[in-house]
Amino acid sequence: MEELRHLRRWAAVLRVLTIVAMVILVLALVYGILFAVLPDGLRRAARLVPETSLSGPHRAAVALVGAVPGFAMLYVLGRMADLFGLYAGGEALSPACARNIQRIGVGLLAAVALELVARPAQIALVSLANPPGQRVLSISFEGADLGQILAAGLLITIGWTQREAARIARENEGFV
Amino acid sequence: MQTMQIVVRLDVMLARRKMTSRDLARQVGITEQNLSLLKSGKVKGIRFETLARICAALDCQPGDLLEAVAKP
Repeated sequence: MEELRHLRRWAAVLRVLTIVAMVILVLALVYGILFAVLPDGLRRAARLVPETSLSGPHRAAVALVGAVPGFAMLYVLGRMADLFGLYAGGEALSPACARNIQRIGVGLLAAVALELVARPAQIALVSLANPPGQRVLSISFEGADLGQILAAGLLITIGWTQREAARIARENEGFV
Repeated sequence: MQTMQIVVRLDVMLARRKMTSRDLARQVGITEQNLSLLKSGKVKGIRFETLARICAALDCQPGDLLEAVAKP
């Protein structure tokens, strides 16, 4: 009972933090698309001549492509807020919790997949400012991507076990 | 093989002991609602722990409370 009270309190705090993170992410995405300058790393990866500058719509298109994984993260945060909301309401072992955990995992997996596609797409898009013959397509896979894939896989697995736990909990409720 | 079902005869034992459901629920440590569900057979099962406490409160054996009858 004491643990459930801790869980509810902790989840309520995390829910607020998650919602704050969502708001910050939305603002960052909008700012990134509308106002942000082209990152140096991206300029280097696209082998952009230093004096070349991209037009506003071109730069916004690059930022929009880069923001796509952010939308997946927004979905993940939304599901996290739902999950923490359920926990805060005292619902710990329910099919709804299991569903949310699995969706968080799937969302993280989608975010990695989109990141893997968005990065090369951004570089290719930036390099369109180069003269023909100097355009670049670069594909990369980082350790952090693997870590995120493993974390997503772990969450999907936990979601499945949570489904089983929810089934047992429901069955247990039928006993006096 | 004939299909059987378990029927709870708690009402009979409560009447014999002249005890109310409320008193029994309090002595056993379960809610009246759960005891009512148990009496009407609307539960999936009963824990040995609960059964033992009911037997102690009513001074009876599990066989006095549960009966296997043929399913209609």
